Amino acid sequence: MSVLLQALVSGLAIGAVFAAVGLGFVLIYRVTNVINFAQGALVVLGGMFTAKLAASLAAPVAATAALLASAFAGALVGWFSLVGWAGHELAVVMVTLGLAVASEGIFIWLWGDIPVTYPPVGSTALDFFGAKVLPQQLLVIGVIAAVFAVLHLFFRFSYLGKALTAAALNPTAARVCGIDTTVMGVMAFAVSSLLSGLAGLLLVPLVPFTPHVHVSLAINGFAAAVVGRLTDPLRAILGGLLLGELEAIVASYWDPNYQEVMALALLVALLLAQSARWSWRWRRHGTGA
Amino acid sequence: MLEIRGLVVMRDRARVLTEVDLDVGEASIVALLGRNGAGKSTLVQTVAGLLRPAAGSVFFRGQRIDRLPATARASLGIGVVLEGRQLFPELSVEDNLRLGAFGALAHSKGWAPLLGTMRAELKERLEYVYGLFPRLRELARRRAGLLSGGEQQMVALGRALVLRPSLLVVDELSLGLAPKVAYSLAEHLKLLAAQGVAVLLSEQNVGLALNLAQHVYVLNGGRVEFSGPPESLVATSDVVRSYLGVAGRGQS
Repeated sequence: MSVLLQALVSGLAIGAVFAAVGLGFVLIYRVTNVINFAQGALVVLGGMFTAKLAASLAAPVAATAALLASAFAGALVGWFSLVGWAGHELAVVMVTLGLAVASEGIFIWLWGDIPVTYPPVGSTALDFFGAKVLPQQLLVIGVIAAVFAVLHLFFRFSYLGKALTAAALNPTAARVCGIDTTVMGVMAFAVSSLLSGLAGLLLVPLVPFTPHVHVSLAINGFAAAVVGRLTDPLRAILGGLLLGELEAIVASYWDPNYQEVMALALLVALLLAQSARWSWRWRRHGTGA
Repeated sequence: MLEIRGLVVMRDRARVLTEVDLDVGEASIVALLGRNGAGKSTLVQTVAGLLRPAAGSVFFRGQRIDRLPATARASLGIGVVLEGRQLFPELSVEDNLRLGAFGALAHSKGWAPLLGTMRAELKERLEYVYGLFPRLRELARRRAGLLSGGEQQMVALGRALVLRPSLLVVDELSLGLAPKVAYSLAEHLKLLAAQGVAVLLSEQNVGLALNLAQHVYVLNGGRVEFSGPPESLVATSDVVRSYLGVAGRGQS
């Protein structure tokens, strides 16, 4: 029982990270129709930059600096993609993939290839019905949940949030309302990158980062986003949490080496299910839509 | 108010508009007629800033605007109703209306207040629209995508009017609407013109347009084939027959 509970808590923490990255994919895709594969690299940026800065600065200062750096880097990727490659979504996807690969080289050049980390909050594990729970895990879950709540309020109530939704729903109509869809796109990139950076700096005390982890983070986040069909924020969050739990359970009860495969397995399963549904509809109604 | 001179617009390397001259005076209603593919929507989209002209110029209140993006034109006071309503279907009617003023408010207030709800700033503008279309107040909380065609067109008009525009550009007011609904919306355009709003209306329903406009342009193959008051269009029935595909009033 305590093994299961422990797996569930650590699954929730890692799942919250996947959910944050998945939500980032969705936010960007909704507003710009672009899949930003550099999302994983931004998680690494948030994590590694905080770890490096925390060696000489107080952790909150290091975290704030890393967050600003992530948002700025994301906005730059967005601006470069949307202004430089306007109207060529597929080319932009390749650009983000290229940037993700390039980021690995840049991070190795800046910070080396050795795993980095910084001390988690609270060093002693808490006892939770026999399961050992790290305070850092609770911090990851709590902070990401709070950020999701703030984002929900932002999109639900603020004028700017509604404008972002409008730009996603109908870009042409948004433009005649005076909503600059390029600015909204860059903003979506910045917010998503802030989320990714935050996920990274919260995760790195639990799982030390090398520049190579961006691939696995991007795949897990992307799988979460695909659960939400790239457009549904709530489903993407649930997808991330589910994936986290699945991987934690596989690691606890089977073999930790197989946990990485779970995201790919989920992606393949979802794609197969989708194509089966399309071919079923095609046979039934003569349309795949 | 709006002056268009020598306008040429290309789409996929084909000329869609050729040397178009057009004027819309203060507080007047100008109708743009023509068959499908005559270039009406292209002209509307060029005025709205969604298309860039290859040549020619567009002036709004004396200011040249043909190189300005659509967002800047909205904040200058050009309200646009696009063909097919083009609402934000998943948002409520009130949210659709409120977003109509986004450009103007972002321009005048800056970005920071946009993080709030802007309810106070938008109250007066919404009241103005609800005054014109009391039905929209009843529908305020409904999702825009679930309304009837006529109600959606009301929302589209309201969204353009929240801007308090001095020029209202409407593409296909009556398309897909029951005649009664279309004529009722047309009455609103008359009311707006009486309040000082200039209206450029692209329309397929010739009867409705002639009833409404003080000046009519007929487009054919991207050129202006006729420009004049509605009475003289009706008198030259061959124009009506050849370019609009309907019989003139004298023959109907």
